[in-house]
Amino acid sequence: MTSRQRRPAVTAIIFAAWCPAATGCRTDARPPWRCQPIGRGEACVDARRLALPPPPWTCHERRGRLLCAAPGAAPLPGGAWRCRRDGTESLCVRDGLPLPDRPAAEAPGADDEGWRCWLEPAGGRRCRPRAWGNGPWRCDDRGGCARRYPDFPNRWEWGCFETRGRTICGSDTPAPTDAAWTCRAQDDRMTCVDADPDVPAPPPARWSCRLEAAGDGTDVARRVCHPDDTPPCVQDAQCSGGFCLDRQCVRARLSADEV
Amino acid sequence: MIGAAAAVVLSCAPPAGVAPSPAPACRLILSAPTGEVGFAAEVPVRAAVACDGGGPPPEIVWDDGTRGPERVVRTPPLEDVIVLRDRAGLLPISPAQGTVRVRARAGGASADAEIVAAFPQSGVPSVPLGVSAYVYGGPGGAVQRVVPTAPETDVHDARTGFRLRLTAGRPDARPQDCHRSECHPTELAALAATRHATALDRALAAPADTVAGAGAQAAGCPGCHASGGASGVPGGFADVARALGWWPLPAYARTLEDLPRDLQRLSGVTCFACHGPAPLPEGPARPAIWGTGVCAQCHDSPPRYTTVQQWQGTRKALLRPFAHEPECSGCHTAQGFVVRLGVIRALAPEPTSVEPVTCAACHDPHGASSANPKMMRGYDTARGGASAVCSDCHRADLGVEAARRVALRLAPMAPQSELAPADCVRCHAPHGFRAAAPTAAERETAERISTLAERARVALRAKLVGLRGCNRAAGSARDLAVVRDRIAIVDGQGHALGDCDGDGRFKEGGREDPLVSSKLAAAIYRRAYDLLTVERDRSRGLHNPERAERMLQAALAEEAP
Repeated sequence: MTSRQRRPAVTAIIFAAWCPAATGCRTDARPPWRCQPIGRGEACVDARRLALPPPPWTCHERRGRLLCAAPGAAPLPGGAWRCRRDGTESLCVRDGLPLPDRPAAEAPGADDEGWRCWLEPAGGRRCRPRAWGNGPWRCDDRGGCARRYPDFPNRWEWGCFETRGRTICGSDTPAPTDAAWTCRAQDDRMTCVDADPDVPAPPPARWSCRLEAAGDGTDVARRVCHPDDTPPCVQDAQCSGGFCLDRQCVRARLSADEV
Repeated sequence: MIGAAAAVVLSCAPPAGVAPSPAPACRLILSAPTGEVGFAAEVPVRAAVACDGGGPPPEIVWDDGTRGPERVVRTPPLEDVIVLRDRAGLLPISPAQGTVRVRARAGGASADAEIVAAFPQSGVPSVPLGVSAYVYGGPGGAVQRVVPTAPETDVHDARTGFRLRLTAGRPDARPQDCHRSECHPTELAALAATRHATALDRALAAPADTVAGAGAQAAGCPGCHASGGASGVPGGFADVARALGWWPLPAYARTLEDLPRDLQRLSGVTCFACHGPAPLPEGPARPAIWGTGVCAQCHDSPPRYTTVQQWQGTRKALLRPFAHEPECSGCHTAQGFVVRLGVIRALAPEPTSVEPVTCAACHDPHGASSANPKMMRGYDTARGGASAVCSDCHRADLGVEAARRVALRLAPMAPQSELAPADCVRCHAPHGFRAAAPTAAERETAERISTLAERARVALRAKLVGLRGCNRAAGSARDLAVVRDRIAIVDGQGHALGDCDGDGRFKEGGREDPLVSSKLAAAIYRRAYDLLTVERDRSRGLHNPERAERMLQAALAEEAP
């Protein structure tokens, strides 16, 4: 089964609480968003179909931007898109995706992290608080921060690494995954990519992060971030296969394929 | 570990079958220390009451009769709640042993608080980090309190020489992929079919105004509906929920998928709830998994969960001195019983680690018999369903074919299924095993059959008058008795006449005949067997009065010239 086939089921699982008013649970319509309690905050959906470049373009969302990639010299979308061709790929980025206007979460400090949004397979976007289901960030006086209970594709065991602003995880447990991750199953192995992983503070702060899984039985998996001390980029040309966004190189292509 | 601040503690379980009452005009909140307070400790519990409509606050009355906004609660000394066996090891601690519950009432409202002397321990030395473990050094040794802070902690009792290595870990740090194909896929698939696996799902899904539904949201409940859930266990469900800002659980969380991943990981009663949140202990300590302490972590929490307490009052909880012996262990030990059932092929019950007929003897947490509602081993609808497991030992012949039984003079040890209907649990409470008191008519029947049995016994005794055997230490024959597993002729002191060397055993193939001679055996074995079947059935014939009477009448009829 491919990740594309999984998506509807995953969405149903993650948002099983998304209920009609008849069931008595609270929904909150503030056009274009419809929001509903989730954990200590709320999750919101904007069902309007976004104007995305047609296939073979593939797109994902990262911090209020759309990033799209297509193989070869695909026709570039016009309008507000910023595009370039890089080797055998065409790449585009568009800024300014709207976010829900309410506080993201009621948990202390959760608002600081803002929203985590992703594109729905059927069109539209869903957002939830970045703090949802994750532990708080704890920072030391040297600027490093760590989060226990970080984001993973699902409840099972994963091996992960970080590269170019993405988290890539692999698992031997085929199971439905979180809709915020882009996943692909092959030969009983699941590979997932988070194009928009959590960091202790939003841009312009730049971070270098990794996921740690302590094996001594005394600690739990955690995401550890340090200020990124590599030279910041200033233009896309400095970022092979990507864009310079918020002074950091970011891949436009979601490459579960390359893992 | 004791929480610095007082915290609201509410009991998770109103009495069984009682739905929470409508909200009273007054609200009563109890504040008690969180975390472990230790045994023989004194802790204050405070109550605050607020009522609608103003006016003076109503008086607060505690369940011990005292009045006022504060009550000092004393947790019991360890030796008052835990019976030290003659075996060294990690002491299991159940909620009934380690928790004190108090209740206060005021203005029509009531509230409960739980004071935790010690968090539950299974007895398996794979324990939570940062939680008290009590290690007993055996007879002559001491009980040491150890709070593991490292993955391995060695405990030594200098007086007895006992050594134990505790492995310790956090529940949230344990990998959850036991189901991997190279690991334990069969066990996990079986576990998934049980109510253990869905303990939290079901509680979340229950309507909020039911005991189960209210329980899912209450403080004490994840202790048993999730792994490592006791409220103060580092890395347990409640601890993680607090870290995630999810405590108490929001009322609309009605499915597991409503919860964050890290709570889903700890939901239900899965591997580590029983096997411990750390690597498996060293070999000699592993048989502790067969102990009742594993189940007592949850199923010994009265008034709602009384299973283990009921069991403790039965003979199944007794570990007989002979239990580990090969011919006895199959029905007198948990380990031997599962070997007898063919669940495990090679498991030699050792005197130092053998357990009596514990929960795991009859219940199968993750095996071929896990799919039925109570996880009964040997579940068979044609043989009484859940009761089928009883008849594996409660049968007259114990599975030994007739010729061998006669040759060895085997006794009917626990012959209930010879007379009783197959569905034992229809009358016998599953864990206390007692049936309802007999009616007047049943008592009359029982007296008639008892009289008949006594007549049959007298007739058999008459056949033994003046008889002597090869055992020179024994006197002349007085009666028939069960010696080990044989029907034997005994003297007035209980010495078997046919036990030539007086060692209490009968050697096969030798000259030691429990019934002294083949000729005598031919005359009385069958009659004695039937008499003992009725007697050792222990229902005084009530399991099947007609059959019991026929058996006894036949025995008496044979006596007639």
